[in-house]
Amino acid sequence: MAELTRFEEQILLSIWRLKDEAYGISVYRHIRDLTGKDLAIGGIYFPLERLVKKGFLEAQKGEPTPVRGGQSKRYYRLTELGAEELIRSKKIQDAFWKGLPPLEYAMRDTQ
Amino acid sequence: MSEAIGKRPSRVGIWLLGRMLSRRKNYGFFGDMEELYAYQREEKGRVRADLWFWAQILRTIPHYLLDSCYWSWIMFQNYFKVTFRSLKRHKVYSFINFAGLAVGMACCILILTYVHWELSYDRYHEKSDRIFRLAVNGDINDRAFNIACINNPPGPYLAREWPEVEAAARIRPRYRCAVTFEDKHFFEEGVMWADASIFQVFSFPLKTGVPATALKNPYTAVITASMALKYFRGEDPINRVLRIDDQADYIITAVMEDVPENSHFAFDILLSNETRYVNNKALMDRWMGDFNNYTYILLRPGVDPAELEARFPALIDRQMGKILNAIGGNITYILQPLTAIHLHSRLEGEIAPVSDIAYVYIFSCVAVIILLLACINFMNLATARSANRAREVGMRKVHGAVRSKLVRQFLGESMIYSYASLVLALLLVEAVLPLFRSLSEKQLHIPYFELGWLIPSLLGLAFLVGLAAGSYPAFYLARFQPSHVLKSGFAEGRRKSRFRQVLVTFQFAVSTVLIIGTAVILSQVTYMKTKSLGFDKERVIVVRITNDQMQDALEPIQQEMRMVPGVLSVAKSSHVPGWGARRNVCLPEGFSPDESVMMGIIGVDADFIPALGIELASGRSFSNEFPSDPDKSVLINETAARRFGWDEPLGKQIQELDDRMALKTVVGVIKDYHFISLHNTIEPLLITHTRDDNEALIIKLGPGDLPAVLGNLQAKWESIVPGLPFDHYFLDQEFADQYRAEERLSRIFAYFSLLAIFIACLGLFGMAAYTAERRTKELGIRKVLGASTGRLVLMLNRELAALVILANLAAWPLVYWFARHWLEDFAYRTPLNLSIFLLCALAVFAIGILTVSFQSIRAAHADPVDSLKYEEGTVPQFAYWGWPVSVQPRKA
Repeated sequence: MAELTRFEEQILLSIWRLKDEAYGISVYRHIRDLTGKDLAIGGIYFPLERLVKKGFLEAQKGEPTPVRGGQSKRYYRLTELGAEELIRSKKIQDAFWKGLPPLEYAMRDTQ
Repeated sequence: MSEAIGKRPSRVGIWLLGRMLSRRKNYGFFGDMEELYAYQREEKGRVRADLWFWAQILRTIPHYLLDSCYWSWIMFQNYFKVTFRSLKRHKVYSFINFAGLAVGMACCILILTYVHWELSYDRYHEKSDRIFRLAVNGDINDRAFNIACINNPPGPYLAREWPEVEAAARIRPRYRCAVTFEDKHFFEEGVMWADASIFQVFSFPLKTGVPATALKNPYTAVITASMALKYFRGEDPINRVLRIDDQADYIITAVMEDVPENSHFAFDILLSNETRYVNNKALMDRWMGDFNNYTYILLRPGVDPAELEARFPALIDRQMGKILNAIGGNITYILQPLTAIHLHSRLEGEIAPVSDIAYVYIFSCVAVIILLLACINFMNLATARSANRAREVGMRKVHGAVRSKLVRQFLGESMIYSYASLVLALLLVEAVLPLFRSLSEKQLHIPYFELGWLIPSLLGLAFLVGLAAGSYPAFYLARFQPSHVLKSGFAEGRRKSRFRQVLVTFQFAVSTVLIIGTAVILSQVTYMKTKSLGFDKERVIVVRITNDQMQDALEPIQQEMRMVPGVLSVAKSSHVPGWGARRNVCLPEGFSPDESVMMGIIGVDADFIPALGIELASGRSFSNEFPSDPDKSVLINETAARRFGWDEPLGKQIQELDDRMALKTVVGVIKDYHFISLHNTIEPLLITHTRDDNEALIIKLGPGDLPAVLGNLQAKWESIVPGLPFDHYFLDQEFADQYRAEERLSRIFAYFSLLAIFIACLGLFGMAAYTAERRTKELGIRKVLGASTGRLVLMLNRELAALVILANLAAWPLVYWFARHWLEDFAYRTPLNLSIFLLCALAVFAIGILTVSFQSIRAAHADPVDSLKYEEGTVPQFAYWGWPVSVQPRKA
């Protein structure tokens, strides 16, 4: 299984954080706010669906609301497989960072 | 918030989103979009919300594209894997496919290079679309002629008097000249007279010198770069002096680049036409006579050539009307576009042999056909072998592949084949290009980078081939029903194999057409080379007399050469067979002046007729015993006698319609001989006895040591005219050279038809292997029941043999029609008899049967124990020969 891309990881983490409120717009806003990148709203759905297809997320229909033109929200939830994948990803990250002096100081020292 | 309800974004936008997301039934996106839109609209107003909405849609597109690649890439990897697996597993079939496609594409590329070259003639001139050649057509006493060269005055006249004509340039070949610079002397073929305006009309770039003044003065010359190298070895040739024919000196005023090979005329040295005005102004200004100039005019932009053409008759009437009326002639000028000369001109007296657009068409057709044959192979094998893929298709369908996906997979597979073959083809082309160059006698190269469109169009070609070869199998394979192919195995209907039979028949019909075509061309060439020409061309040496020094020494040379042992006779003449004859109008006895006849005229001495073994029909030949012969006697050929309606020609009188020739008496009639070539019919010929005007020595040798005799002749020559090269050729060789164009054509055709049949045989081989494989079990049972190997082979061969015969029957009428048309251009042609057809058919049949037998004998020989164990979809042990065999063990 290929590793998660950074964007995919961000999406999974956002969904984990947003819990029951995780649907397209909230995930989009969350990522936008945290990364400061102005990404296209469309850009979020393809990875979302890809993750659903890979089994890392599961989707659920919410209640239809008038402001959505009578269409329901699509809520996402992390699956066990997705959680495992996130843990694996984090382990790798941690392994890389482990034992390194904090970079901020290190860079100051060399200058 | 509540205001936003019901304010929905554009429907078009929603529709677009639907297109992009339709593959996943994901409606969360639409809802989210509407929600966001509503917020935006509330905060920022309608316009900005709309703008935002559209920007979002636009920015979604790249994500959409990337996403669709993401999934297809995964499938693509799988397709690739499967393609390579089947490629590795079925080596013979893969080889047939690759070889066929690569050879087909290589042929196609080579032929198209040739065609492109042919079409490129004379197009490198900047103003080529405005340059026209003046040619003349008309008739004199009902004998029509169309001649590429015209008289002296029209060029300068038109440039001077007609405002529509921007410039005019004349060239006039001097053919063979002796060129001398200090101690270097050579014979040059490419010497021409030319007007200074040649550099204005044509785009011949000068390396040094000024175009406007290069040929302005008499006795100036322009040479090409290769001539500069030949004579001056890197020194500056400007203002150096070349001596031409040991008569006059010419100052070099400019050096130009060599004339590109794709020009309908070429030259090495240009001499100023002004020189001719200095020498013979009267002739240069005379309208009637000296029809030896090739005249090119440059029209001003926007001038209609047809309009100019319409004004020529009036001009001709004014300048030449009187004389033309007197001899009963009628001529007019025509304008030929420069770029049409090489392929479309069909005039007499072309400056150099031209080609024919028909060949361009024929070769293009051959290219397409060969490629088609290769595509058919691919189609045939792919559908024939569909059994092997049926299970795969079934499995894929069960796992959710839709038809369009499968079509794409198989098309992709054929694309892989076709692009890989393109690479192979390009390597092949590079490998055989030298051979093709010598075959076509053209300095072809493939301008990969000069022509910006070449590489894209090669890729496009491969794409088309992949599409053509792959589309039928792709749709065919993708149609399989999983329930059917997975449960009951694969059984093929009879109708499917009929389609393949049609394709194989077509392949063989095409190959047969090409092979018979080649045979017809070859037999015509052989016919021309071996047909009796009416004279003996064996062991005859011709020495050209090109300058006055030789002319003056002719008598002693002739005398001395007669003494050389091994020389039978030495004759002088104005024309040698192959050169044609001077032409003029003659007035035979009993004809009125307006019934005069156009005749070929040559001047010979008394030795000419016996030296060439020309037979007399009646009367006598010229003889030194009759001193009055040169002034009073002529010979005519049989055609002339017939033309004049003379039953008893001897003693009749004839006169050349020219002030210089008196009435002469016919003393003999010679049997017709071909004084030009077999391309032309024999015309009435008048043979006079001349003392001067000799252009050639004809030396007839007896049997004996040729090099020794030649050495002696050369020694004699050098002792009498030292310093002048002994410029000779063999008459039989020269005659053979006349049919070079046809020989070249036959060679090119032979190669390409061999390749066509090679490709067809590859296909047939594959089909035979397949048939044998499909019927493995049947053959096993038959053998167990007692069928002999011979019977089995016969059974397997019968079907394919029938196809080959059918192909022949289809091919014959077509090739007969083509051959008839092609042969019509020759005055003397080989009879088109059935034996050629039968022989070629037999050859094709034999090749076909051999190919098939190779497989069927193997299949029939196989041990029935193996055959009966064979399971469909596996590889039977005998089907491949020479390749590693892997038999899949049957899982219990």
